[in-house]
Amino acid sequence: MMNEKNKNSGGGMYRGVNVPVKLLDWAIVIGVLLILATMVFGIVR
Amino acid sequence: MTRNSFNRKLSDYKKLDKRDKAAMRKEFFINNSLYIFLFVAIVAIEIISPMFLSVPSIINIISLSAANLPIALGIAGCIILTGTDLSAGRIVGLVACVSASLLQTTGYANKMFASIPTLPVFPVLLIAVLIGALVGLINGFCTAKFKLHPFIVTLSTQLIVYGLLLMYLMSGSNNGQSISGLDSSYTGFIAGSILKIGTTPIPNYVWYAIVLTVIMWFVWNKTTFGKNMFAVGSNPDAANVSGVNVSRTIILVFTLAGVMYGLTGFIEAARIGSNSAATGLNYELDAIAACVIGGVSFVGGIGKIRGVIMGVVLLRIIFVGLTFLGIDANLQYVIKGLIILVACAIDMRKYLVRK
Repeated sequence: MMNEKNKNSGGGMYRGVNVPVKLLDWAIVIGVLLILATMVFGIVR
Repeated sequence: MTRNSFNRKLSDYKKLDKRDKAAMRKEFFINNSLYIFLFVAIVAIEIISPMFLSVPSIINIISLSAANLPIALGIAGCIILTGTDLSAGRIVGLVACVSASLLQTTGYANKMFASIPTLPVFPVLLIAVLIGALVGLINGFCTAKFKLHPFIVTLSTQLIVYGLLLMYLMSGSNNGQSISGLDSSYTGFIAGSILKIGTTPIPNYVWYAIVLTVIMWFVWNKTTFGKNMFAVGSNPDAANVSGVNVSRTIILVFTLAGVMYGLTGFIEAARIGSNSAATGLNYELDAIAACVIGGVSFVGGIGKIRGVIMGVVLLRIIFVGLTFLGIDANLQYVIKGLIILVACAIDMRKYLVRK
């Protein structure tokens, strides 16, 4: 949750966002694998 | 990165214990995963299709990147202010159609304004810049003075500009058709060539894109306005307390972005030769994607010109590569979307780790 201290500081679109970094790590890895899978699918189709 | 700083980082890395080294490696691979993937993809495409990195193909990639670079440089400024600009593509379309209509060759059967002779190139260039700057000024004014989010302001202006474009295409004797038959002085100025590599000519607009990039680099890094832009993007309240005129900076950034869209439109009209209401469609999305890939952060106040260039070129290489591999154009949209999503996730991760 956004607290008063963070309200006026930087952060732009992510201001007040608090997602576990580990979750983002997995999201990035899965995202890259998905891109790869889509490319391979496009080639073999 | 200079050699000294690289050596320093390497010696720092060697001093770390095993666990810290592993953590540092993981950070590096996660933060650069997209670049690593794109590099591997380029190598793989070259192996599968050896013509991919031939001279004509590289010049094609450079030309396509140069055509998209000015719009990306404009939007990058808006993203640094934690905003965005959805009207960019439509401004490009409007400017392209206006420029094309004023520079149709005399005696062309479907000339839009038959009574007006073909104008010289430079006054039309000025008109193109003014149209772009005017819409950018409106975007900036509404964002700065009414405290509206740029997303909604630029969405509105996108629709307004598109409506104006459709009305413009119905004017004269055009009746909504695409505008072609451009004067050779115009097409020669933009798409002509003064340099060839082998038998492949480098179009003039590549040089214009380089000049615009140098100007933007200067504006971003060597002027007070550029410093203010980063300060406002990082923290508008702190910038305001420090004496920066926040409203003026926001208006100027959007106006400058508008000028870049105007120039893109002027170049695009001659580059594609036949301009319709579809000209410029979704250009802003490609530009935003290029900025995010190039490390222009939605956090605000973070971004470099070289990042924007890298983002534009990498995105273009991937699209040309996908075409080389014969991947369905529809599937390319899926890949483009995934790349943007991953780039945003990396951007957010960097922010959270720093916080």
